[in-house]
Amino acid sequence: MNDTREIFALVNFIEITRECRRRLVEDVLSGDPDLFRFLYEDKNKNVQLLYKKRYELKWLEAHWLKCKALFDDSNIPLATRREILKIFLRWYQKFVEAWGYESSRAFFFNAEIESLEVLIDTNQKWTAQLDQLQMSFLRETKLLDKEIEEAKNL
Amino acid sequence: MSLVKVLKFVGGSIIEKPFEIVGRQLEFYQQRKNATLDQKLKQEEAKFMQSLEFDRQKFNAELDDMIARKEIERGSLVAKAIADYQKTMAECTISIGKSLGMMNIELRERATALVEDKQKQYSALQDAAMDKAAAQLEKIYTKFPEESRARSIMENAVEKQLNNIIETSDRFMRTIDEDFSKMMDSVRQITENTMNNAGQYISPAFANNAMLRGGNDTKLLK
Repeated sequence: MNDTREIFALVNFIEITRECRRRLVEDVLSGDPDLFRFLYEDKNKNVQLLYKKRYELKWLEAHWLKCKALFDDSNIPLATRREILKIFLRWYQKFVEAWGYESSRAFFFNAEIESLEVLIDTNQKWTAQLDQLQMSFLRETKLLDKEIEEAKNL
Repeated sequence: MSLVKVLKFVGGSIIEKPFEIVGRQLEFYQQRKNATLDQKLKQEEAKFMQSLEFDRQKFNAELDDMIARKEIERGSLVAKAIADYQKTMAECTISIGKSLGMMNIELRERATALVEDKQKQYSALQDAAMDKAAAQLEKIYTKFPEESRARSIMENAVEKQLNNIIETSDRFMRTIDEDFSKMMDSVRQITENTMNNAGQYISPAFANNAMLRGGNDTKLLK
């Protein structure tokens, strides 16, 4: 019985990794906003890394969410689900480790994604303010030029 | 009385008597035998009861011993389980603490890097604006070497622009400073909430429930 669960979990976990890999390729090709910003849009390396990190964490977390979603509409008893999810959890943590994260960090991906969102939002606000400042300086310079031209005619 | 009658009379008693005696003897013997048997039986019964009592006591003693041994065994198993749990809990706490600490440090570094980037970008903008104003001033001095109303107006205009740049710069730096504090507060709040919930990760129920609940971001789930 335990072997059956191990095999069930293994087959499904492999399928989930395939799905997520396919999704990654599709996101690159279709231009997912985070990936697009990381790959092409923002020239600032620190900002690019924020988008990359956010995408990466969401992508990693998607593996776990898909594991859980397997049981959404199933009639499998709760005890069996838990047994299988424990097997999934073991592999998921190993998978996360393979990506260079400590396995315990997988518990806080949500918190990290949320924090990165705060950083990204603040950075966007600053960028907008800088753009406004640039416009404001340009306007000031034009006004100064105009004032000097007017003064020359006095 | 005829002889036959006499014989019959005597003989009857003579014939019957020995049977009677034998019968009585047999009866006596039987009674004795029964008594012996009874006694023997009673003895056997007593012996059996004694043996039974002994066995019962022995069995109880063995049972008590077995229970005691099992208790110790179970006790040591429980003690081992508690020790293992405490060890795992300690390892988990360290691991979770380390992960959260690492996450916090990384986020702080990222936030600091963003501030530095923005400061650089702003400095570049400000320097460009200042350079332009200084160049204008130089042009004014070249074109109007003498004091005049026109030069004074132009000087004032440049001065006003320089003041604006300085004020804007001050405002922007204050905004960055406030936003940085707010940003760090939010990150701290998120980390603290996670830290407060970390207890659930090291609770005994965690083995059954770990991560089986959390994670409601289904954006990537198709």
